[in-house]
Amino acid sequence: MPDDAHFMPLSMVRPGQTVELVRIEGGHKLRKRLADLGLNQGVSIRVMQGDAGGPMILAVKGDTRLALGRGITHKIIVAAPQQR
Amino acid sequence: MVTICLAGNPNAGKSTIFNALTGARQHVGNWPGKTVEKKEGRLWLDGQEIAVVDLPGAYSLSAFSAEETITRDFLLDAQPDAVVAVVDAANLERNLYLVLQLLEMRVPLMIALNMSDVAESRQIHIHRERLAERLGGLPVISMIGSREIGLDALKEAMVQVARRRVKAAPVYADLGPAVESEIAALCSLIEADANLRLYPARWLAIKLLEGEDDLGTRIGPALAAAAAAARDRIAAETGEDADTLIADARYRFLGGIVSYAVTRAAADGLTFSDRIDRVLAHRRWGVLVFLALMWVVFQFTANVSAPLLDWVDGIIAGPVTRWAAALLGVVGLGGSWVESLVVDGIIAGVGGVLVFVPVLFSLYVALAVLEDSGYMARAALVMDRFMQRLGLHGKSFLPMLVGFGCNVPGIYATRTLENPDDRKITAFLTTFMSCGARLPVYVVFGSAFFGAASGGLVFGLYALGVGVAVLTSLLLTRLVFRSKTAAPFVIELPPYRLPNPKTVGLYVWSNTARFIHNAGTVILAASVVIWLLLAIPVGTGQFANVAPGDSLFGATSRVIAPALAPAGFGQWEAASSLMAGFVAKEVVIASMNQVYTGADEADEPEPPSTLGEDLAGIVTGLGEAVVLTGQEIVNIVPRTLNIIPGLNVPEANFLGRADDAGSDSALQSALRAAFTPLAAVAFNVFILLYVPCMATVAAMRQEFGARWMLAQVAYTLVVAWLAAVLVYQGGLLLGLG
Repeated sequence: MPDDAHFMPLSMVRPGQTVELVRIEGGHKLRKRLADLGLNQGVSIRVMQGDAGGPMILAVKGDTRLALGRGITHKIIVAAPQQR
Repeated sequence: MVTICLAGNPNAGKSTIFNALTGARQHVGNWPGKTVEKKEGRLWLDGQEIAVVDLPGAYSLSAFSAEETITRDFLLDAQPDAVVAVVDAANLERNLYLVLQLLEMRVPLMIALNMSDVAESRQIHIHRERLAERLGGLPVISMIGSREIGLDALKEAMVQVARRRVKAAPVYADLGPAVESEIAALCSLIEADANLRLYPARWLAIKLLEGEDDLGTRIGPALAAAAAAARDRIAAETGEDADTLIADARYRFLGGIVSYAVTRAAADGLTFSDRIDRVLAHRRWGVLVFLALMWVVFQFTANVSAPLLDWVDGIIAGPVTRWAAALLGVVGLGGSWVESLVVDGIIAGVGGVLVFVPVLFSLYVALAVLEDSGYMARAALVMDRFMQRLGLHGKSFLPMLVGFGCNVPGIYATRTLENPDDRKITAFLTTFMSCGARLPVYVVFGSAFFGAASGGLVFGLYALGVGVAVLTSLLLTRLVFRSKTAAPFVIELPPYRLPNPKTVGLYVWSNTARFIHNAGTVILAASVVIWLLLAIPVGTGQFANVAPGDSLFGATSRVIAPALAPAGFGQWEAASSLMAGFVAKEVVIASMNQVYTGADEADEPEPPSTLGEDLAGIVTGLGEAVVLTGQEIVNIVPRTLNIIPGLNVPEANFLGRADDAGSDSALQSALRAAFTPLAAVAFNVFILLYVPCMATVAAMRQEFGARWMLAQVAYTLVVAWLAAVLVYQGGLLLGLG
């Protein structure tokens, strides 16, 4: 695990970048819901679209496309994979 | 009877396979006590009848949404003979997450590897036998549901599994030492409990460790306490929550299966859908495309269906009415109250509603295409930003969009929302979405008062409904639900695909059939009741031979009418049709037909015609209507371009007809005599905004209780009155009267 300095919320990741999910800062229900949809710890996330303010489109597990509201993307902590 | 059910993620193509299996032999209802759609069908297989149940789409067997609870409870309680897990082959890993939970549940399982053509086109090659091997030897059938490829193999496997001829080995993901030791301890507690004999022990133990709180009624307090203690121990030992560890271990296990069973060309390329989403999901272009699509949908419903509507209207008002009158004359009832009941009451009432089948048909086609193509999820996405500003989120948009078809399923569709307050607000707003049944009223008024510009009135009313919903939402989120926290917006974007004709067809059929069924029951009854109220004299006159104004209906409406005067339609006739519209908006036109035209029958003596002439007229009429429908589809283009100021693209005119200004119905000329154009607009505003129908009131009560229902009824009446008065008085001030 890299130190905390390399962690950032998913909302800061730019389109085209790929990151790894470190943890979800939310309740048990949110964590479980996101895991059911394919966003579990350690999963590789490619940001397809997204800009300041609006929802983001993510690619996970190759072929799953998820759209997440800006509110949740603040709660998903990620790290750049090359820093691990 | 043997019961087989289909389970799978939303968008895995479950419905397509269900439709392919059962065809039209299906019944759409609701799950008992729930308002999620339940689809059941029948299938003859191997000499016996099999019941097929299409379970709601679920990502997991948790109780996160009503859909998932239903799926889980059905599997636990109904003990189906076989479960078909429908899996999207092009999205295998995530789809297998549900399969793994089905395996934990030890249900008699098989896998339908659907949309294998899409997977192949993305150069994802799935080695079926390798996948089956890792899944304990389950039948794995490669399918293309939309083309019914693999259907026979699926049926064959269904028989084999249901007869317990498939020996599948148990398959479990290893969840790691900390979790596994707690599972073992919980399993022995579960197995010792006679009440839990029916439940698969390992599955239940995992659910408990995941912190599923919905199992409370199934398990005792001792077990719940043991599970809570186990979760605490796991957290203390590993530093992670049990649910996180379980999800990680499952995905790791599935990752292993996928890398063994799937070979694929270098991934991470942009798919076709990704490229489309560059535009359709774009924050600016996406909204423009959305608005443009809505415009086309309204054009489609308002104009494209018009020729067919005129055709049906002609048949009912002409030949059908003549034939009924002739038939009653033969049996000696001509001129009696029975003739009045049949011709003025039933045929005018029910017929006046059936006329709008083409309108609803086109609306349902449009909604089905948007849904089945995968666009609906994008609509929710591009609208999310906007909905957030209203204190809601993008998913609230879907029930409202469905509400444009019919408010009732719209209210039920709020079940996809997770937060109860979001659900309440969204359902409240959904009733302001102008449903298909309100459209006929706008169409009749629009073409009576505004001719070819009636599309503008219709669009304006739809937009006003949205506007009122926006203001109401701000009011509710700022004042009533101030403590509400915004629910997270998460939605899967399924790949775009060509809508499947069978799926669209069955959707359109079941919705249109419900409308026709309503016409045959509720509206028939309402028509008879309204006719009766119109037939009972108050003061002078005799039964079935009284001017509408002197009838019981007229008397009641007179009491209400003065309250509507500030809105410009204070006549009792208008009040009476609004009264009727409380039952269902479909009844408004029926009631107007009776009130405005029922009294003066003999105003257009028609030349007598033979049965043969009538039939020939119907057939040639249909031919013309089809040609005109084509013309209207073509004309969407010039009408759209003509919005741009300065452009005046001519519209197509296939039959070389002049504008049919002269050919309008008796009702429309009666309306022009009774309303000023401004009052007509105000009246339509009222129709748009007040209580949609009895069915929505019932749905609101069922979903949210009597208090919320009454609040809704009161609020819509007040808002409708205020808006109508504002439009009329404002219009007068601006000199539009």
